[in-house]
Amino acid sequence: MADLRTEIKDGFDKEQLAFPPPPAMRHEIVQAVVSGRQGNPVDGGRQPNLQWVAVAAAILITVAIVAGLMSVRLAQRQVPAYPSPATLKDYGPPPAGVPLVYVQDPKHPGWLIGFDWSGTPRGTVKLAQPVDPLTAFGQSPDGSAFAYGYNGKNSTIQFLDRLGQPVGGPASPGYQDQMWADDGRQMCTLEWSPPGLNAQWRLGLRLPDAPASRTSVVALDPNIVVSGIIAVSFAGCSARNDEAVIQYSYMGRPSAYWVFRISDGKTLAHLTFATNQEVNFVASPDGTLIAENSAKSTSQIAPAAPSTIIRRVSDMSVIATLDPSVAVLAFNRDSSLALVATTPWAPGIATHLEIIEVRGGAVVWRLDGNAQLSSVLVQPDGRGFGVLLQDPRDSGVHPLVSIVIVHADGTAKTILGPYPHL
Amino acid sequence: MHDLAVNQTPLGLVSAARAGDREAFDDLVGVQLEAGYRVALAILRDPDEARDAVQEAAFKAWSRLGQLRDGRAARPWFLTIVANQCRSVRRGKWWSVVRLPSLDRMSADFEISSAESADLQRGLARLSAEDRLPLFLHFYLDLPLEEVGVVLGLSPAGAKTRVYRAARKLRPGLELD
Repeated sequence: MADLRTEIKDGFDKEQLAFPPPPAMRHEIVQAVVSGRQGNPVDGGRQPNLQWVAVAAAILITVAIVAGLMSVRLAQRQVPAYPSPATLKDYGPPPAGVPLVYVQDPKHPGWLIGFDWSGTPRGTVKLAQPVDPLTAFGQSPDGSAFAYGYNGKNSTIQFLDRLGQPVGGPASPGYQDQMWADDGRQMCTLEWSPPGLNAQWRLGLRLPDAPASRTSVVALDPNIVVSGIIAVSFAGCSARNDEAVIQYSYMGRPSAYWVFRISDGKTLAHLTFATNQEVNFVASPDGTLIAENSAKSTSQIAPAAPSTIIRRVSDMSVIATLDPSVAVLAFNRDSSLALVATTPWAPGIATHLEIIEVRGGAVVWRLDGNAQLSSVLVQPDGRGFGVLLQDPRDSGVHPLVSIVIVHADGTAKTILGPYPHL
Repeated sequence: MHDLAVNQTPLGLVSAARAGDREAFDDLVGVQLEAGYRVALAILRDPDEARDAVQEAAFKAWSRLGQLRDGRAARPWFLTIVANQCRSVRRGKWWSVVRLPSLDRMSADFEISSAESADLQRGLARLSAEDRLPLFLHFYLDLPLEEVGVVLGLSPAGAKTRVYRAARKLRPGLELD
């Protein structure tokens, strides 16, 4: 037995020597745990602490808010006063027809720098004035336009063209919700109109400089109260496939979604869920897939959906079942890949990400460092993702970010910041 | 510094850690992370998975610090959390058909110097995680059977039986000392 002990020890030793512990693991994990978990530990490990419930609630609210801003990230703006990357310059007007990812120029308030999807700076947009700190500002999926304003209920949005010039004259009329369609040129609109007793839910498409030219009545429950904490909003919208996914939520927790044909308002699918089971729904850009993210993905203590699942819209069949701790954040352009968070996407803690193949689940890219996800962009003319990362300790409304462009084969290019987020 | 490996954990340290004291948490759990990683690697056989598992275990340990007020020793307590986390991962963290331990990758990195050690190496690689764990805890980490039992949820006698049973799979005919 003594010899065997030595042999076993040697055997394990060889395994362990091949993969020693990461050098900074102890420091990083201790720091992450102590700084990331604000609530007090649970007594005896048996009963959930109410403070954890509060933390979970805060995470849920934050995730819901951030997820809503994922496709068109409209965060509050402020004039940046950040340290500057050394090589910044004026890259000239952004080229037409080249999809770009924008961040703010830390040296010049009101300037935006556009990187193409190879990571090369290709243009500088010079706004007429610095971005207002209290007004949301975001880019279209391909960076060919910008939206300026708060995208809330019945709010107005001013659009800017590729060069940062206002389009469409006065601010566009308000809608219950609107989002960029997958063509990157039109907005999907949801409105409750006309005012008065005869109001109906209407779905439509419009160009940024015009009202919706065509709307269709959709069979959303007319008794839905469109104020306060109840909301209907887009989970996805594809002009190309003539489909929109609308979700209904109460206090930020979705409990139903509909798939409508935009052109005639026909209901293609409708699913309802028990309260607090899901945290959000995420549709693919082409509207062919829908992820139903379990509330467990936000570390919710209360019972939640047992799995995060992905459905195929054409027949509503489940094509993938994921652990409930996993949340799908976005699908890529052709719906073959999904960007998922394997830790809760919440302020102050690192976000671990993976890109997986929707069919089969193979992991093609993984990020498990100490950065917090700031936002996600889907490559409009390819199969990749743009991931903007920030320091978890940066709680500003314009966090300093670095950009990671991840290609479908798992290769990635990092554009190191710090750049203030749009 | 306290010898938290085998002794009961000082309540003052637990209280300080529960209050958010980084150093106290480091004294309690930070010092166990390397052993935790090694246990996770032995079970999962994938360094990325192992690192993820030990980090998740650390988060869980933070939420369960109150358990140490019962006078438990920190090392077996934390290694239990790690082992349970690894079991959870192996059950299929999400895509049940993928993310299995990459045995080929591990094997390719090993240097096998002799036929005998190669046999044992292969034997170790073929063992199930549930067989590898008691061997690893007892023979590699040199944990006493009492602590092995804590991690496995068994009595010391039960732990001894599990170690012996697993060892016999490597060396059939082995007699218990």
